[in-house]
Amino acid sequence: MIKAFRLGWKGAGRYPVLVGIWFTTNILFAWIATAPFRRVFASHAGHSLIGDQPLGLMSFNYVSDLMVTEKVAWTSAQAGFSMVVLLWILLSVFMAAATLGTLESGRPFSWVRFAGNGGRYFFSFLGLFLVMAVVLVLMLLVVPLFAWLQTLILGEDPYQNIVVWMNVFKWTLAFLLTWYWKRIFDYARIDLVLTKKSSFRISLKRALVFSVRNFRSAFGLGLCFLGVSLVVFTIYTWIKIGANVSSTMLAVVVILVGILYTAIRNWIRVAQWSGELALYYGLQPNIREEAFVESEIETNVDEIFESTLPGIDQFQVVAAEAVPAVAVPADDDEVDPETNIPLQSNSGVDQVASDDDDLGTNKPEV
Amino acid sequence: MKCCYAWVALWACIFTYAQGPIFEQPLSPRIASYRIDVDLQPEHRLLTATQRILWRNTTDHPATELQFHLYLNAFRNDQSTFMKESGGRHRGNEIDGKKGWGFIDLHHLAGRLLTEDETGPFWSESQWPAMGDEEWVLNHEFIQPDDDNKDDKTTIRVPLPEPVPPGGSILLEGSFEACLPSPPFARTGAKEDYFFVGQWFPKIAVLEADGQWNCHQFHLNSEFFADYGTYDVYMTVPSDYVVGSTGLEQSVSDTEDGRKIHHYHAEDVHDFAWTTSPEFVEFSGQAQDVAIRVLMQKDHVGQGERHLRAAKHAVEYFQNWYGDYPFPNLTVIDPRRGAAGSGGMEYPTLITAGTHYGLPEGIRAVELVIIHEFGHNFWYHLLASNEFEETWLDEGINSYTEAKIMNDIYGEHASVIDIPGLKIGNMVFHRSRYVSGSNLDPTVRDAWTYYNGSSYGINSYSKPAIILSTLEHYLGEDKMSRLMKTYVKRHSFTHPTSDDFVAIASEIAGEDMGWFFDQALYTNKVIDYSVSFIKSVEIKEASGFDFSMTRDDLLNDVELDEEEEAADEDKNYRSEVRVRRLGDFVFPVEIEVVFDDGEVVRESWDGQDIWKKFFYERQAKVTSATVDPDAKIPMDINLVNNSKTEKIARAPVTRMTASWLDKFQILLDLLAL
Repeated sequence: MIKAFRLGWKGAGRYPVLVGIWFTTNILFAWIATAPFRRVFASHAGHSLIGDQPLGLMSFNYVSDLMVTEKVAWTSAQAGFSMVVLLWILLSVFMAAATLGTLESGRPFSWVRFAGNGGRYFFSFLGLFLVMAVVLVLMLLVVPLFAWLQTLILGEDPYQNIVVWMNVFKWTLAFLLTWYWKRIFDYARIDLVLTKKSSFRISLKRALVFSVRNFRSAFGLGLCFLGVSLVVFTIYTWIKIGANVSSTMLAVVVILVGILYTAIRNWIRVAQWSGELALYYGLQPNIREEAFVESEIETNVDEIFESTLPGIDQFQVVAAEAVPAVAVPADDDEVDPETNIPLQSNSGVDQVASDDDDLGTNKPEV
Repeated sequence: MKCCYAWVALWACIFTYAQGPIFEQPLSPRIASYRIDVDLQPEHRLLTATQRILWRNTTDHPATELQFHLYLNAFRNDQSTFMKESGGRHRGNEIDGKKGWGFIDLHHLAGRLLTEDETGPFWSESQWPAMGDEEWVLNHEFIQPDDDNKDDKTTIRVPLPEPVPPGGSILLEGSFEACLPSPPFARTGAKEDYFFVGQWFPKIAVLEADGQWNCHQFHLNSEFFADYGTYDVYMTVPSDYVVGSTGLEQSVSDTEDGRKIHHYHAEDVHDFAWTTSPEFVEFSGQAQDVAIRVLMQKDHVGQGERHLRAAKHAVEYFQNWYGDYPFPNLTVIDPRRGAAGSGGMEYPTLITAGTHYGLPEGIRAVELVIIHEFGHNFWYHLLASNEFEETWLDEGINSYTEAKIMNDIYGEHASVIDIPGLKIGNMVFHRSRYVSGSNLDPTVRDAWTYYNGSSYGINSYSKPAIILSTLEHYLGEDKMSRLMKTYVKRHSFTHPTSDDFVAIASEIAGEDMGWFFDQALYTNKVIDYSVSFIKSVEIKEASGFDFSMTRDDLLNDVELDEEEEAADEDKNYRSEVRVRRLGDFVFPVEIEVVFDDGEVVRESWDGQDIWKKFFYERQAKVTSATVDPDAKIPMDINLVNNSKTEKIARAPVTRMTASWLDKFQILLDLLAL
């Protein structure tokens, strides 16, 4: 798990352009999403000195004044924002497909391959996204369920301190459940990419089984990345609140810090997917064969592997009695012999094996 | 055992007399005084009581009948005026529609006129004359003076066989039974073993100077109006119950069935409320000459000191800024969980707050509510204005003083909320409400006749706070302080009206302030000034024909002299600034015009016309103009149009964009699953 975490960062390091794409689109869409509001601000306050007031006071007065006096403009801005958000969601599904496809291929980045992967997996990813969203909403039912249990156990009239801590527990659990569901969703997408789009339902099933069987590793890896995200978010929030946008200069500082934060967040995103890919494949090196047996697709498996997974060929899977079977690279340098370019993160899955992990459990020897 | 009880009762009596009156001389006219013996049956939320009332007719008109409020009948069923107006909801709380209804039934009422030698003064009910044998049995009938809703049983009239003459008094005796709503709703009620008992007894209305009774039904959007008097209330409750009440505790005695009788005495108050629960945890402290008692719920004990601190702030600030709080004590009640309907309410010497376990210090709800509710002990208790008809005199003035105090303690920009990333000041909060709907109603009108609940709230609380804040800027802080102090001093223990306040404002201001209050209180006019146009045009040499040319020059095609381009520093500009009054509220305003050589010019405008132009000729162009540059008119409903710059002002757009861009980046990052 720890090594998959390390490999994740390594994988992101090998594909800085992926981080760049996510970062740029994220910033670009945020900028576009603010455009309707900027337009309203500019047209209604562009020639006003109201900005000379401290922001805390100004924003409150300004927004309330604006909302009252410019209802139509305000509503239009909100509608424009909603459209941009919808577009962003669709684009992010496309980019997730393109990113995972690129990471899985282990080949040097190319725009054509990036776009091709995006197009190839888009609809499967979209299907998964919709399933995930529905389940995510259903998972929030855990909160009323716990509320019902709470009433059953504590009665209608518990002390507020008990209720507060029960709520903390309830929401933490709901968060962890939805968060782990997101990890399962990630593994389902990874499975889809690894198995070349067999079926998103089957991939989801396999991801579920994987996430249950390898709960410690999958949960732990996710937790590591969550920890990093929280640390970054805390530092960013601390800086932002400290700046408090009390002058135009500090506003610029906030913009820059926000941009830096977005860059780091997208770096974390790519690293996490790369790490999850390493873990998923590392713990199930023969996932492809199993997938094709399961889905009974009569295809030349070797052909597919050859065409899309050059990095995988360089692994030899070893197993011994009472020792988990793991994939190890053919050479230590992890370099593609043809291109001399470092291979993708999952080519280092040998490093994933540790006593802490359940690597290779029940895996057939290849 | 009975002997033992007798001794206890005797000592209780001795103790009662030993306590003596609270004040050496009455502070108020003491028109309506009460003695009530009430027995609480917790399991049924039932109050069984006997009541004696001593009422004086201080008007010049004989009183041929009496009128009373039976407030608890507002919760009798869903046909009362209150329930029809509220739809069963009040400040987010709902009555239990199956088992939570409340009521009050007046079982018996008798009375007799007092003779001239029986008119007191009566320091305590123990000095009251006896009822005697010549009592009248009095009947009553329900009346609906406001809306003719025959199902509303919240007001009654009691015809008298003989009128109470001017200056005369009547002694009344009766019994009643009341059931408290559950959970606490609209300030009163019960939840499990917590009881907050407000508006709970038949309360005599106010006979006004013209001989007419002022007795309104209980409405959703309204509070109360009553005369001053003394109260002696004996509350019988289970022995392990703690009692908090208006007034001072005189004695605690045991009953034969093992319960306790708490006797509280209050003077110069116009209402009486009490609470009881076995779960109260007591905190006490002292603020100047006022003893503070805080009764906290067990799950809020960690906030006891916080409540105490807020109460101390409230007492000290009000006494330092507005005048003496003559009462020796203040009790602060923390409502039980599930009983928020009894929170945030004021009674003489007793207020209720409201908190939640884990409420951060930076969310100053506790402080805000305690300072606000204590403020009512000035604006509603010392100055018993008519809250049915002129709510602003209580809630509005109180909102203004609450904001002043909160801002002074916690800072102007973060007095209500001060948590990382979010700061909101009290006056800013009021202004945002004011802006959201200040023009639907005049400030002053009968409380239940506003356009809707929101308009009632704005016109009763936030709008008057903003009006008074504007007045403070107009008069200056010193004069405003004198105005408030004079109002308290001159009208304490009376029923002041808006006219009284305006008269003092005019006196302090040294001018008739009718022009301001007539617009602010009795119309829905709003202030909205704007800078509509600024422009600078270079002044060039005159061109065209002038009187130096002759007809021959024209016929001979003599060319006009070409104008020479002046150097930049020699250029003269004609600048024009146009200011408009978009609102219909006329208020004098200042205008600040800034030129590109740094010169700043201040202009004054009385605002009488709907626009005003200012012209300047100088070697500088105008760069910006601002109406109300010192932000002295918070009543202006749109601050964005108060200024205009020649070039686009990037600052507000940049800063708002920074703020929103920052939020959107994170949002999009989260949405990219």
